Amino acid sequence: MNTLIRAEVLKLRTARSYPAVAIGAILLIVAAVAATAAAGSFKAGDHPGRDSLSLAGIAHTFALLLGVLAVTSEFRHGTITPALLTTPKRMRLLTAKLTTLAAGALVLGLLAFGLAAAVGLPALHQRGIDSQLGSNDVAAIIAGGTMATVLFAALGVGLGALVRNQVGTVVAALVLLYAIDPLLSLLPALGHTVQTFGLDGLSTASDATTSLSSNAHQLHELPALLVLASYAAGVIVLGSLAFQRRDITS
Amino acid sequence: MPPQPRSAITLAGLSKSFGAVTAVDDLSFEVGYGRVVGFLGPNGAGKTTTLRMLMGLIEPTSGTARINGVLYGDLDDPVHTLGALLDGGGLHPGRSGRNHLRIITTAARIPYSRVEEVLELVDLQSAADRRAGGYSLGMKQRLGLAAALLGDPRILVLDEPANGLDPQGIHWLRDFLRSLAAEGRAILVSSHLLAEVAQTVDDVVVIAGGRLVASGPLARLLAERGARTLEEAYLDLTDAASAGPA
Repeated sequence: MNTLIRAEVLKLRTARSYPAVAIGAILLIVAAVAATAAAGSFKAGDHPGRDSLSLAGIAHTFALLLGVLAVTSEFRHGTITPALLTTPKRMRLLTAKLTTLAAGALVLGLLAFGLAAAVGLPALHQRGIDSQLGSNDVAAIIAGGTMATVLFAALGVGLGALVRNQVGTVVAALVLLYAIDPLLSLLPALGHTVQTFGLDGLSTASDATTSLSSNAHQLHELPALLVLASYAAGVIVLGSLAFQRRDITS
Repeated sequence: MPPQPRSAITLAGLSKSFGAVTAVDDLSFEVGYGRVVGFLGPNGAGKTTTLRMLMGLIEPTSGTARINGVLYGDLDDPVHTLGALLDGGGLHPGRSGRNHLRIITTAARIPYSRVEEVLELVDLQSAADRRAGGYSLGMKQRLGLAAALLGDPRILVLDEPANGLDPQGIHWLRDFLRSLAAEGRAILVSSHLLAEVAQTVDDVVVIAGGRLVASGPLARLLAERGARTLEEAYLDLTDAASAGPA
């Protein structure tokens, strides 16, 4: 399994898109957090520290997309054929890919939330704004945010294995996250449930940061992570079943 | 080591249907060690589906395709047992040829020095660090061939390897396949270049509409059909197959 993971790392390193997307995500997050902490206006009742750090949650979206891309690009470019000729046991290949993406997302999450805290909190302090965060709170945000980044990457791998079409999966993931989820959360009957158990609500709850639309009906950090993990596990099981049976015709 | 089976590749009653369409129908043939076998048939005859079933990429509806008597998925060391070139090799356009090969050697525990050896063998060293997206068809074929050779396998399965090769490349490929067979390797090669195939192969397997229409030594096939060239025999066989009852 170690050699397979090394091969998967090599795949990610040698196709320029993955390092480029990961580095771009981190730069974007640091810039957004720095700008908010350094120049954002906060009213009474706001949580300046949590609000600034919540911007690092975009790492979850990037992790989801990287997971999707890592699987679907193998189908799109036909590299799944040499991959399976080398490793005919499909579950071993998928496990190696999942492990590699999870490890990559761990680094991405740590850097995103760690750098956000390292840049954002001193900037608030410099302006004399109380971040309202103790060191335990900051640690919980970094830990929860990082774990959620890992889970979103795993969700992406499962989704990619299930759907396989690259553009279709990317669009589906983004529409779910940024259109269906927010729209459903506005419905009177469903709204609270979607805010609690929808991906967007789980994303912000998992790193204990606020979100303008959904902070009222969020789970606590640990339950949010557990719900997210159950989603990821379910999609991975479905994706594995599909991948195991599928004819590879190109 | 267990005794080497006489037959490298054995297809027995292999069939595949995609929905209502029968792509491969009750196909049986063998490829022996030391032989170059030409796998011939019109477009859509089921050649690629057959080769993909052999490699475990497509699940047969019925029948089996075995390598040294076992299914591809059950091989202890597939890369050192069988090398395959399918559909140009499946290249990521943003990845260099060298990195494409490195990924395989890493996963298959093959020393990195082997990458340089196969690159030299297919004469692709000068382009090895360029992105594969910019390769010509012939370069992609060379890279795919290099990938198939990484594990120094005793069995080679090549789907249209001459595609995109220039005359020098085709000449080189012919000599190369003959030299590999002379070392006792088994080679199954599909091609549409019949004049080229006639100069390269020992045996032919001809399919049409997913069914076997002829198999055996090339010389015997020509004698049986009273044909002067492989092309004449092939057209005769495949026309007869497509004119017959479906």
